[in-house]
Amino acid sequence: MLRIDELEFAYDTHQVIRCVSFEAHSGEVIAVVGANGSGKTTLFNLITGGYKQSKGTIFINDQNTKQLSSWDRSQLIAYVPQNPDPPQGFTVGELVMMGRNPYLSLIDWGKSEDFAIAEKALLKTGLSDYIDQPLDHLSGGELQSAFIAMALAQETEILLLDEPTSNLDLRNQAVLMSMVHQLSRENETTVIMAMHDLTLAAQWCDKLVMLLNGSVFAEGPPEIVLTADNINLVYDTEVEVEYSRKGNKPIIFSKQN
Amino acid sequence: MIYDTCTKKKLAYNIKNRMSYTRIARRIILGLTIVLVIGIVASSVGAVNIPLTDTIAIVINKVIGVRVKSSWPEVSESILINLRFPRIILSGIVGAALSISGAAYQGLFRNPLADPYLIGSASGAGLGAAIVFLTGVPLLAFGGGLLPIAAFIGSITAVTLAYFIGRRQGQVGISTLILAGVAISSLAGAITSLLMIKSDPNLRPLMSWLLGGFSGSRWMDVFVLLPYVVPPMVVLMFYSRMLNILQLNDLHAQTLGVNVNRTKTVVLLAASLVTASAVAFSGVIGFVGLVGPHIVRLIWGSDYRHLVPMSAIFGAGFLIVADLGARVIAIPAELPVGIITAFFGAPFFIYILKTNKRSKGI
Repeated sequence: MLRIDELEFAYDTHQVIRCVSFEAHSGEVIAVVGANGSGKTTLFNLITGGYKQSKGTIFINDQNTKQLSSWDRSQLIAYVPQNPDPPQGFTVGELVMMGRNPYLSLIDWGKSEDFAIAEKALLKTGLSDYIDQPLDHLSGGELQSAFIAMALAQETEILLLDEPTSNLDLRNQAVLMSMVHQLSRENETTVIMAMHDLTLAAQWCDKLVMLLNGSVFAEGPPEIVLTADNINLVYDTEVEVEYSRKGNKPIIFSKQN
Repeated sequence: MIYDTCTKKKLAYNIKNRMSYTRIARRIILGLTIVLVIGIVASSVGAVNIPLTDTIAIVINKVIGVRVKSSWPEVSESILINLRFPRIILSGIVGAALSISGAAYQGLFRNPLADPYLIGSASGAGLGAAIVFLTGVPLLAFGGGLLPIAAFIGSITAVTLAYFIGRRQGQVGISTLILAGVAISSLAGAITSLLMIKSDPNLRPLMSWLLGGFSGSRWMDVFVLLPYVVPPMVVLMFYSRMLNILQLNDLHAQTLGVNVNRTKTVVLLAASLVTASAVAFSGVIGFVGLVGPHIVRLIWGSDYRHLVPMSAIFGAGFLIVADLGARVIAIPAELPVGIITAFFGAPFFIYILKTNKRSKGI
């Protein structure tokens, strides 16, 4: 379980995160939404420990993450950045095995279990046939999946994905979202995603956290958060919200200006 | 069911092909054997050619004490033992050192063009060593031991300067690092030349040392150099898997449990110590750190677990051959070995610059 308590963060004098608090329970799929520059990526970097918050606390299973080393954290949180830069000259298999690093000592290159876990991660992301493919040969979507496979191989309680669907076509978006959904239901993984596609977020996520200028503006199930008024204000653009006939999920249409 | 059979098939396939110590060890043994053969052939060739059978017989006699041949000319044995063997072994160690540190710098800076010569590390070491030369400390006493330390300080200062000059908003571009390195190199080289001109004009050893090369190498050099280069080379091999993870960006690598700053510091110190020790004994020789690792990359890809050890082996072979060229191309004169390495290295540099995807537009 992840609990974020009154988080604040500034780059030099520029306050990026003003006041962010929310909880994420195990097995929940959460979308963090908000306009460009609202602090989604910064928030993720604070959760992974890449940046140090100026105020506030992050708890994982009631333990303050300030007391955790990066080694300890890496066994609890896996992170896939937005448009990750592929290391040149590496294969998919080599990349995914890097995800086992939190469990390996300096000179340990992985035991059979580690390879089996990496295999499983590749199978889940549909990349089993790509093990020996160089990363430079992959399409944008395949590359995204390879990095997600690496994060899965980390076997963490919490999975952070920064705009995982931005490079994917319609089918691969559905494949990714249903994989994430299944992961949360079967392994009790907490998945937190930064997302721009609100309709997609509404369709697959249990909860939305909507950021505005570094603060939580709205939080809750999709149908509560994704009202036309909220979206108009947060994104500063006119939208219409309809509901799908089945499932009662909001669908967002942008209006012409 | 489909998944089951699929998993089993894939699992067997992967386990067969995966990176393991035995796989690396096999490659290392094969590589060392080839370098040994190159070394034996190289030691037969020179101003005086010695039949290969004599060379092999002398090696076997010296190493395991068995006479496989009844006799050979006394002078051949003397040439091999006193001149060529120490020279070839020294050039092999220096080649391994420059090449392994090239691989380490490339991993550290995520820059395929990094080479101890191009990023200023070697010239910085040269300046450090020149200062010791010129202070007049007798080299056979503790001066011999002081030389690598001064070179180490020079080397690490130069790399650190190049790194900070090349950095823009926390990012070090591929070309900016090289440009900064070239600037630092030129400055260090200029100071070295100035020191030389200001000093005793009869300082021949410094002159020939600065040109880079292995003429006059003795067994003593081999024994003094080894303790400086072997431990940091072992450290780099231990850190090879970490170098893989450093190829991701820093924020991402840290989420995999890597202490990025500590890892970078260890690699930087080890690579600079290796470079500095090599430079202290052989002078500044360029491009070895580029050629060795890139041949390995072309054959096996960029996994640092084989890149690091195999670069050392390829670098050793490359410099032994280059030094052979330096000895025999202009008999009776000797060429500086740096000319030969540049002949191979410069086209390599251009090739990497043209084919590397990331260097475009930076």
